Amino acid sequence: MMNEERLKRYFEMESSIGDLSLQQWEIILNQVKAQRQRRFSWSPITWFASLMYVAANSGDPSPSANPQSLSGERARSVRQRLIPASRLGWVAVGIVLLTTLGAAGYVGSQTLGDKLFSQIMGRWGQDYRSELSHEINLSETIEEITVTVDRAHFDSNRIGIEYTVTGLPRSRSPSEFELQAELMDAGNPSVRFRGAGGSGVRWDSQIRGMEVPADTVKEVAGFDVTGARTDSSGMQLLFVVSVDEYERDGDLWLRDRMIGPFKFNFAFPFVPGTDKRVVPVGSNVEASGVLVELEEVTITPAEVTALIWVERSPEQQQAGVHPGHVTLNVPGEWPSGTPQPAAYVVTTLGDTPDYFLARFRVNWDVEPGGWTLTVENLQGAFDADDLDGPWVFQFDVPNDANGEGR
Amino acid sequence: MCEEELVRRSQAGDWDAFELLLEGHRCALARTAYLVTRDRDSVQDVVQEALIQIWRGLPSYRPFGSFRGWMLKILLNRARKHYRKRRVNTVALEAAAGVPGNDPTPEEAAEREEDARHMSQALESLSENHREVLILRFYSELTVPEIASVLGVREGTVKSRLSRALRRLESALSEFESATRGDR
Repeated sequence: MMNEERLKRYFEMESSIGDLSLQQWEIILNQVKAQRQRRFSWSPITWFASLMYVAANSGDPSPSANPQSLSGERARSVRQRLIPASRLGWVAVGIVLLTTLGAAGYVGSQTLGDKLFSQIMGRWGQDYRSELSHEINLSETIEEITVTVDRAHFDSNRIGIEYTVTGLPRSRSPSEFELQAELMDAGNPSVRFRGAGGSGVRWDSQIRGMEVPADTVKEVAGFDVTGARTDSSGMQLLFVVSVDEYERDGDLWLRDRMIGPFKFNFAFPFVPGTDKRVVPVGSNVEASGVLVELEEVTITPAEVTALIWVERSPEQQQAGVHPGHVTLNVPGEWPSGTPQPAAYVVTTLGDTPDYFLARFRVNWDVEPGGWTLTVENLQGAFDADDLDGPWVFQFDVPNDANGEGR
Repeated sequence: MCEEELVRRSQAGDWDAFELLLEGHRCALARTAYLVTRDRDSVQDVVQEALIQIWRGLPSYRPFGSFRGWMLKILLNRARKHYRKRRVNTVALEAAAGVPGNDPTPEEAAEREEDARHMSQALESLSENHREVLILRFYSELTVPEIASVLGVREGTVKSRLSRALRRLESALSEFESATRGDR
């Protein structure tokens, strides 16, 4: 016992030699921040974490916009500022596994890819197969693992890429592998498109009776290509997949090695925004002393996004106060009057720090009529920063709201 | 915000949450890195490498055990590599002896210095496994189940390893102290 106490004293004394100054700590954090390469991941854990997560972060504090001056001009300006992908400093990417696998009810003749697409693209997934789908069929094999890019679909701002990984060791558990998928501008790989939903199956799972072979993973990765450069041949894309192999060590899963990267260059005849429908709203609601404006709602076949402006004090900006629980209620077949929670809310950074984008994975036909968007609460970094609403916005989606599209 | 929430947000890619999460472990990470490597110059590298691995490993982190234990596991792996690269057999006695205490007398200072030197030598004479289990138990103050998780061994192994490590430490201390007395 004497030696134990002596040992504690020694450790306490000796260990302080290792103390890092604040400056050293900052240097380390900056280095780690620079080197972090958290990529688009499809592990169930990431899905779960992302499902639970509502992105919360404010950008550089700047004076709040004057709510009285909100106008269609500003909305357009904001839209333009939001568009360049390279400037989108989205902090968090919500990767969404839709909660209802077969809600659309496409079972009969659907392939597994169709089902995966319909999960992330909504009901239009099947339609797109004929109209807006393109076969890619590129394969690469490294260390007996083959990655095949099967095809790609596009939405107004989003591309879904279906790919298959085969040759994974049958003796291993699927949870020992994690796929990383990235989409870049082939001409400028520093432009990485933000992940926007995904769906996948591994060999220990099945979707509505369609099992995956024992060494196979099939996934559809969605990417937001808003603001992507296009030319006469469409977009030149670089799709990169890597397979991370993990080993279990007690309770821990540690990455053992990376297989790949598997790189695929292809052109895709895609022009972003061609079937986007924008509904300007521009109404303000004040609650809990905070003014919130719903500027506009954008409807695409796969999703509905709402551009929300929050009048935040500098302190609230610092605390990362952002829309927390946001719901959308639309007329239509499904979910039949039930408010649909936002799949996730992302912050807009840079020169638009008070703007937030709530994304809704719709699975119903867009119906004109009265829509209701509700910001239930605002959330900050700490519970004390939270504010209860609701901020309720009722607006009409006119018949001609569909006119801008295809 | 509780640690669990910070972990969850960090897992989802929230860098600010990650920084907040680390803040509570800054001291422990650096000090543990030093105790394992015995090299002041390696601490910054070890901590940085560990943090990169921790960040990248967050999506696969399963909250079965303590987050601290999980971080220490990764840190230990990095520190071991540095330690094996450069076996530093000396300890900064001046620094070690100079940290605690309020104006010790010259005799007390000399005694502490000698005490620290003996402990340092005794620890250095232990195997890597024994030294690590002592650090985790008596510096990091982890529980036996936590140590088992960090080291990836059974709890029974931790207990027996702790017991043997303490016995060997005691034996080594006696040996070094006797040698010092014999020199006088």
